[in-house]
Amino acid sequence: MALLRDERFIKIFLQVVFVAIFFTGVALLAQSVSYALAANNLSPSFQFLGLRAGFNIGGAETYYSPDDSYWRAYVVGLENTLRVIVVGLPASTLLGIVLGIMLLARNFLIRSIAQFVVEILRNTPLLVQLFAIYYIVVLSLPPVKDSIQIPDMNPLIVLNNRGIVLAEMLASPRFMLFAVIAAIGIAVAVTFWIEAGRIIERTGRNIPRIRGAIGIAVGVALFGYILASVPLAPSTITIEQDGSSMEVAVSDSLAQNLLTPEQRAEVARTPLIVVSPQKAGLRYVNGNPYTATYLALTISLIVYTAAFIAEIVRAGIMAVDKGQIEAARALGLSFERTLSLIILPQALRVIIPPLGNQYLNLAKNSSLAIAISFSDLFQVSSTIINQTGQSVSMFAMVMLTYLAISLSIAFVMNIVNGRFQLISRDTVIQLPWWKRLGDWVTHSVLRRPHVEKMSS
Amino acid sequence: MTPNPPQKAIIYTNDAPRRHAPLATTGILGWLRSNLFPTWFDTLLTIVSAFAIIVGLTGLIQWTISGANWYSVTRNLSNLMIGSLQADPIAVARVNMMTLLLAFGIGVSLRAWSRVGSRGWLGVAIAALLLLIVPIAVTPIPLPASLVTSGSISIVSGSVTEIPQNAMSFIGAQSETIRLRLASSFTQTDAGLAGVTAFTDRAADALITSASARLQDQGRIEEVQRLIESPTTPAPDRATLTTELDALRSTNDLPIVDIYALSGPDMAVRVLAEDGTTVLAEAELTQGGDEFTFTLPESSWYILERTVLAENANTLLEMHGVYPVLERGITRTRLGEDGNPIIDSRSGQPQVVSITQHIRVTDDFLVETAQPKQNGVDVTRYLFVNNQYRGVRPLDHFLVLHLGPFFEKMGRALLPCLALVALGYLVMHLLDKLYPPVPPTPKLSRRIVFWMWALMPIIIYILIASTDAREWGGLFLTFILTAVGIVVSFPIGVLLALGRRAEGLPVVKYFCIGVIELVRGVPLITVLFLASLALPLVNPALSNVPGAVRAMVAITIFSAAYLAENVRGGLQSIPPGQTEAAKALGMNPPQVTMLITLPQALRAVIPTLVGQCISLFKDTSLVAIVGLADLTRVADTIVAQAEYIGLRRETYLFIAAVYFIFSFVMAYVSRKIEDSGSGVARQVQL
Repeated sequence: MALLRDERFIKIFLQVVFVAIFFTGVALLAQSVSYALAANNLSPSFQFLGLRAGFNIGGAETYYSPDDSYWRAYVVGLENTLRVIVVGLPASTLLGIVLGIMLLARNFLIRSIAQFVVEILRNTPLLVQLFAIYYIVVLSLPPVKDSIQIPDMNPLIVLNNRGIVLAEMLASPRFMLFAVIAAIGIAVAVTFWIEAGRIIERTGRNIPRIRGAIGIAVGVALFGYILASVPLAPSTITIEQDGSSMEVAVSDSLAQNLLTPEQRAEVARTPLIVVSPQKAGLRYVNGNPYTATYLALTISLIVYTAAFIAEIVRAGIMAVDKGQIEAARALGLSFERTLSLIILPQALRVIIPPLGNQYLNLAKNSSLAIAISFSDLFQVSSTIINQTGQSVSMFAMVMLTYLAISLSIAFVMNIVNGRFQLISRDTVIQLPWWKRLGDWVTHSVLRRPHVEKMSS
Repeated sequence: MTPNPPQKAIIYTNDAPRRHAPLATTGILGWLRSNLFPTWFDTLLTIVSAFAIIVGLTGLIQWTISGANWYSVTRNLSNLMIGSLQADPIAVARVNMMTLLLAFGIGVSLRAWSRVGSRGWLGVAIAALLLLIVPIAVTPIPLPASLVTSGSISIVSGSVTEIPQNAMSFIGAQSETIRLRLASSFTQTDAGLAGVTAFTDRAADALITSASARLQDQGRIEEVQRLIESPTTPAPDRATLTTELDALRSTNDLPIVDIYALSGPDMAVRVLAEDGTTVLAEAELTQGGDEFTFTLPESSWYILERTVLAENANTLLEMHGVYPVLERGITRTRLGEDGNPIIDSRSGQPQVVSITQHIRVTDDFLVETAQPKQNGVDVTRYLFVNNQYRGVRPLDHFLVLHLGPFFEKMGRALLPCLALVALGYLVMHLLDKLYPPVPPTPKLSRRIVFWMWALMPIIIYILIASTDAREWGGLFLTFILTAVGIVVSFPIGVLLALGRRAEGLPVVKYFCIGVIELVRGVPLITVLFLASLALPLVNPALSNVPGAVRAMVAITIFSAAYLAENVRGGLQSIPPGQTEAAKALGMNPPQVTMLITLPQALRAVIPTLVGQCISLFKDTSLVAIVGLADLTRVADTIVAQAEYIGLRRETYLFIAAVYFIFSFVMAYVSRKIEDSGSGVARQVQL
C-alpha cells in the first residue's frame, strides 16, 4: 500500500500505462489501415515512386516530362514550393516593413490608407484573397499577343494572362574574371566592416561603416566590370547553318539576328548580357517564364504575410519606451543614429519571434497552391495519391517534408533570435555540447559531484 | 533671537491678459497642420494620397452602382448563408431558431459583461431603421423595361448571329398588369439604341453592341478625317489613314436602326394562356402609338406571340411587368392525402419528387408548374440566362433592382436578431435590477450567462443534429466548424499544454511535444486531406461519416496544437511561487493545476485565444478545397453557373465583406477584453 503513495512509483506507473495505451492504439490503427489497404490491393510501400508519372506539370516542360518517375515529379513539386518560399520571404518582409512604417506615419492619410489595407488583408481569409488575385487580377491580364511589355522595346518584364516572363542574364567567358574581382571586393568590404566596427567600439569615432562597406564593394565590382570589358571580343563566330558550320563576322550575324542567346553571350564584350524575352508565335522565348498560377500564389502570399508583418513591426517599434527616444534626443543623436542604435535593437528583440512565426505561416500557406492548381509539393502529391492510391506513404512523405521545411526555418529564426535577446542575470550561457560531454560523463556515469564551470 | 520680520509677498495684479493659443495650433486647423501638413514632404504625400483615395473611392462607388451585376449575391443569399439546407424548410426553421437563440445569448452577455452606451444603441437603431425604410422607400421607383426583338432578319454582331424569337413564355402573378409598347424611343437613332438600360434578350444585345460599335466607328471616322485634313500629318501616314477611312466608311454606311428596319413596321401581339391555345388578348401595336395593357387573370405561365407586320424588318418590343426568370431544381418529399410523407415500399425512404421552380428575378414570385408547350414543343422561356440587364445602370435602377431587395432580405434576417439582442439586454437589465448583486458572490447575471453558454452547445446540438450534415453549407457551415473547432479543441489543447510541461513524466512530455510540433509544422490543408482520405482507412465503417464531421476532426486537431502553445505561454507566465505555495499548503499536483495554475494561465491568455478563434474562423475557408460547401465554396459554385458566369468580383467582394465584418467584430471584442485588463503581460498582437 505504501507503494501507491510513493511518488516515483506513481510516475513510472502512469507512464507505463500511457505507453501501453499509446502502443495499443498505434497497433490497432496500423492493423486496420493495412487491412483496409489490402482490401483495395494496395500495400503501403515506397516502390511506386519509381513508376512512370504520366501527368504533366505546367511550367516545367523544359526539365520534366510525363515519362519521368513519381519521385522526379515530387522533387519538381518541392522545387516549386521552395521557389515560392524563397521569393516570398524577403519580399513580404520588405513590403511588411514599408507598411509597418506607414502605420506609424505622422501623416493622417498615409496612416489611414495603411490601416485600411492592413485591416482588410488581415481579416479576410487567404484563400479568398488568392482566388481574387488569380481570377480577377492575373487572368484579366491581356492575352499573349497583347502582352504588356515593360519597357516596350527589349522588355525586361512581359506580363500576359499565361504568366510573367522575366529577362534573363547570361554570363560570358569574361564573367569569371569579373566574379573573382567582385569577390575580392566583397571580402575587403566585410573586413572593413568588422575592423571599422572594432574601431568604433573602442574609440567612439564616427566612421561611416555602411557607406564605406557598400562603397568598397560596389567600387571594386565596378572596376572589375570595366576591367573585364577591356579585352576585345572575338570578331568571328562559328555558326551552324543548313547542317554545316561556317565562320561569319560577329557584326553581320548580330545584324541578321542569327545568333542564339548563348552564342551572343560568347561573343559579348561585357561579363553579363541581358536577354530580353522575344515573342515567337504564341509564346515568348529567351526569358525566364513563370506561370500565372505561380504569379498569383506568390503575390497573394507576399501581400497577406506583409500585412501581418506590418502589425508586428508596428508593435515592435511601439514597444520601445518613449523615454528612450527622449533620452536620445537629449543626447543630441540624429534620427539615423537614434534609429540604428536605440530603436532598432530594442524593437527587433520584440519583432523577431513573431516574425519567425509568420515565416512559418508563409511556408505552410504555400500549400494553398492546390486551390489554383499550381504544381507545388502538395498538389503533386495529391495527384500521385489519386493515381496510385498510396495515400499513407505519400502523406507521410508530404508531412515529413513540410516538417523539415518548418523546422529549418524555425532553426534559423532561433539562431537569429538568440543574437538579439538580452543577456541578463537569468540567461544561461550553455557551452556547446562537445564541451558539455565531459561534464555529463563525470556527473552521470562516474557519479562525481557536478561542479559548475564558468567558461568564456 | 528676534524672529525674521514677515516677508512682504509680492503679488502681481496686472498679469498680461490670457490669450488663446495660436489659431493654427488648436482645433481642426491645428489637427490639419500637425497631421496632414507638417512638412513639405508630408504635404506632397497628403496631396498624392488624397488624390488616390478620391479616385479609388469614386471608381468603386461608380462600379457598385453602374457596372456590377449584383444578382449573383442578391439571388443567392440563402445559398450563401446556409448552403443546400435552403431546400428543406424544417432545417431552415431549425437554423433560424439557432440564430435567434444565439442573438438572445449575445444580448444577455452584452449586459452581463459590459454596457452598451447610447452610441451603441444609436447605431443599432440606425441599422434597424435603414433595414426597415430602404425597401419601402424604393418601392415607388419603377422597374426597368424588358426589351425583346422580333422579326425576320437575323442580327449579326461581330462573330455572333442572333435570330429573333417570335414567341416566348413568361410567368406573372394574378391581377398584375403588363404593358407592351413598341420601343420607338430607342429605335430612331443608333445613339438611342446604345443608351438602352433594360433587360434585353440576346438579339437586342447584339443590336445594342452593333450600335455602340458603329458609334465608336463614327467617332473614329471623324478623328481620321480630322487627321487627314490637318497639315501636320506626314504623307505616308495620310495614305494609311485614307485606307482606314475607306474601310471604316464601307462597313458603316447605314445606321443599325436602318439595317434592321427597326423603326418602320407595326406589330401584332397575342397573349395566350398556359395551354398554348386559349387566346387571352390580342392587339396591334403601332410605332409611336398607345401601349397595350392587359391584366393577368391568374398566377401561372403565359405565352406571348409576336408577329411583325412587314417583310424584312425587326421590331423592338418594350415590356413592363414581364421579367426574366431563374430556374431552380429542388427535391421535395411527396406528401400523401393525410399530409404524411409517402414511404417507398422497396427502399423504406420517403419518396421524393424533383420540381423545377421558376423564380422571377425582380421579386421572388415563383411558379412550380412546367413550362407551356405549343403543338407539343416547349415554348422558349424568358430566362435570365439569355436576358440579362444591359447598359450603364442609373442609380434608380440600382436601388430598385439590387439595393432594395438586398436590404429587404437582410432585414428579414437581421431585424429579428437585433430585436432579440435588445430583448436579451433588457431581460438581463431587469434581472440585475430585481436581484442586485451581494458581494462577494458573483453577480447573478454572470452566473446565468456562464451556465447559458455552457449549455448552449447542447441546445444547438439538439437543434441541428437532425438535419442532414451533408447539406450543411455557407456561413452556417463556417460557424459550426469554427464553434466545434474551438469548443472541442479547448480541453485537448489544455491537456497537451499541461502534458508538455510535465517535468516528472518524460514519456508524456515528449509525446506531447512530438504531437504539437508535428501538427504545427504541417499545413492545415494536409491535415484536412488526411482526415478526409484516411478516415475510411482507419475503420471502413467510418466511410459514411459526412465530410463536415471529418473536417471538424481535422480542424479540432489543428486548433488543439496551436491552443496548446498559447496556453503554454500562459502557464509559463505564472510565477513559480504560486505552485510552491500551493504545494506548501499540501495540495497534490492535480489540485494545484486545477485550482491555482490553470485559472490564472487561462485568464492571462484570453486575448491570444480570441486571436486563435479569429484565425480559425478564417482557416475554415480551406475546407472549400476538400469539397465542403462553406462560404467560399458556395461562392465558387455560384460563379460557375451559367446565369452568373464572370461575376467573380461581386461575389468575392461580398464574401470577403462577410468574413471581414465577423473577424473585425471579434478583433474589436478582443481588444476590449484586453483593455479591460484580462491579459497579464502586454502581448504582441499577431
